[in-house]
Amino acid sequence: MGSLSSAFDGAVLGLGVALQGSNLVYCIIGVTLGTLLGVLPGIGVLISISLLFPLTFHLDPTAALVMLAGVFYGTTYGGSTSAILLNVPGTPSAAVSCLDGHPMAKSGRAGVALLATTIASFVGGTIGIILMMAFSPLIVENALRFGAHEYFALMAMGLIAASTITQGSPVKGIAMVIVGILLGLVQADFYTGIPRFSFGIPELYEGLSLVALAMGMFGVSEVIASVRTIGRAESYARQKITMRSMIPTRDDVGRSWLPMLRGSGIGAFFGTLPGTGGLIASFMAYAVEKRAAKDPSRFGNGAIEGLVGPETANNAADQTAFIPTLTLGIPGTPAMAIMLAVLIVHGISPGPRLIIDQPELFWGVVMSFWIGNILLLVLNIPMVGVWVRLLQVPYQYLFPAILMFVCLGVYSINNSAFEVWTLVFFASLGYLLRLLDFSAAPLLLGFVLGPDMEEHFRRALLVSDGDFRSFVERPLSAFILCVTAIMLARALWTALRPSRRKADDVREEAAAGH
Amino acid sequence: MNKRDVIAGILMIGFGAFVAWYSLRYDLGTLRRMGPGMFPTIMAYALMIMGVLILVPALYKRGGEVVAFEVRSFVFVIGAIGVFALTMPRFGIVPAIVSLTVVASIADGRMSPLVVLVLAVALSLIAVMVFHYLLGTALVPFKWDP
Repeated sequence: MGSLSSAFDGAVLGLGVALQGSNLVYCIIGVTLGTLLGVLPGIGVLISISLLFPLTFHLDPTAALVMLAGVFYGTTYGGSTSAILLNVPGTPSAAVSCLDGHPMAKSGRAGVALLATTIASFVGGTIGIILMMAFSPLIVENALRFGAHEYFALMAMGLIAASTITQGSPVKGIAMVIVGILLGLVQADFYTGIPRFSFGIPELYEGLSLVALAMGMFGVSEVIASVRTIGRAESYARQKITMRSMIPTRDDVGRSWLPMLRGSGIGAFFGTLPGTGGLIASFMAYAVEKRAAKDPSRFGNGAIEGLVGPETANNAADQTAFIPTLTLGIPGTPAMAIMLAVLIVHGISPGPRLIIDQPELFWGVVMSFWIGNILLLVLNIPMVGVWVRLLQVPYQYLFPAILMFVCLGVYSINNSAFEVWTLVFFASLGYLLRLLDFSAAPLLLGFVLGPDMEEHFRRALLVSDGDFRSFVERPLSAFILCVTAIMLARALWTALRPSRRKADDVREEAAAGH
Repeated sequence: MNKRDVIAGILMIGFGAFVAWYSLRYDLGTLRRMGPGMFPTIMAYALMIMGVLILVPALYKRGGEVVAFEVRSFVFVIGAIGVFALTMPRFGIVPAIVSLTVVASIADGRMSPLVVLVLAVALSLIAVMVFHYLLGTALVPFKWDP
């Protein structure tokens, strides 16, 4: 167990570095700023990190990374807060938290939801670190075994899983995934560079904006649906907020610990694979929880498992994403790319030698992530009461504020009004789909994964010279595709079976009677 | 007949058909060496199949009321964002947020003009503080660039 003991040494070393006064201060600054920014709809991880990036030039690399890391997961946490309270994901990765988090808030359990999120994030991060410490070399080795075929299979699996998370028919879920993929394909072709589906608009050469999509389809469409349906001077908090309602019940705790374990595992897996991350991990975790639950119909109505599992997965993925970033030099997400940029600016080259050459840096960053998680816990538990009060603001004042943050956030991506027009498009689309009982979450995942999926697919075929059998000849990809096929078959079977009608009809009557 | 799902199905088929048609202008290539048009085409056909799977059962099932289309909310929220998009690059944060708030308030229709004005001013102040001072973005409170 040489690697474990050396990992343990590393952890101790890292703790020493992370707890150094200045690093701790920057961690606190990062986490606080990150949370505040993340809560604001329209301001996500990328904007926050990009804006604070220049500040890091003057800091030493450890402090710089520590602060940016703090901003990174602080923002992710803040994004979940907004998702739970307002049904507007503060960051795109919080989209899954809307599904069960918001219904919990509407039924007066916002405090419990926020608390559960905080703890779930902490657990995810902790288990992520432990897994990282124990399995670092193993993980790196395995990550390299995943080629284009395996990545394609993984993404297909993730997308089919995403289509099952909606309450309605999985067929509609798959349709949404495909629409998302198609929207994601609006961009220059990877191999030839020619613009696709740009209709002559130069801004579309690089594709549509994810933030505009997430804000439009979730946030603005939610506002459109709610403006006149929420009563005058009413707010989201229909019940009185009592202290009691903020404390999780025994039942909640009992339901949560298994999803947290599963979520951590799923998150750690996707986090260490460069090119995938918290988003797909959270979708998979939700699908797994729904599958594992005794009563899946509770999902979408405030099932705590549906909130806790994905949150844990997301944070575990964020935590473990540092491994490939720092040791392979491969950033899994744009945010990680900025972290890499910080290293390079300071003259440090990432790669397998980083752990060996700069152990204080590597382990210092890893452990400060954990310290940051503790800080999140400490800072946010008292804040839960404050956030819940936010729900009591009358909606007629709240919704213009939401629109304000969304519009400015989207505008500031590129300082251009074009993104805002994109927002208009997505908001209209989102509202239309909502009316037709389609769910936006699978579309989001399809949009993010679509282009990558295509790239892997084409590369896989190029590498195997157009031989489709290569997908099943490679054992790993065959296995994953098998799982996917089973999930797909199951989904289609339950959708087209006649007895499914009963559940739908009951839902219709309940909705109509509202 | 499940009206809602019939519309949904038709929409999916329609969108899929459009993409499949539009992709023809891109080189499809062969399955061995896929061109830029191949993957969209495959996805478009898959979408059309899904559309059919939504449409056909809907012709026989009951239920599926179309949720009411909130015309006023839709027009004025979308309108507010549009006004923002026109105002922001030309006149800066404050005029943009004020117009956004004013138009959006018509969607609600229940606030008195005074309240709307106060809200508009308050929101623009918050916007300037957060986006101009705190975050230091390039967005400015006022400008003149019609």
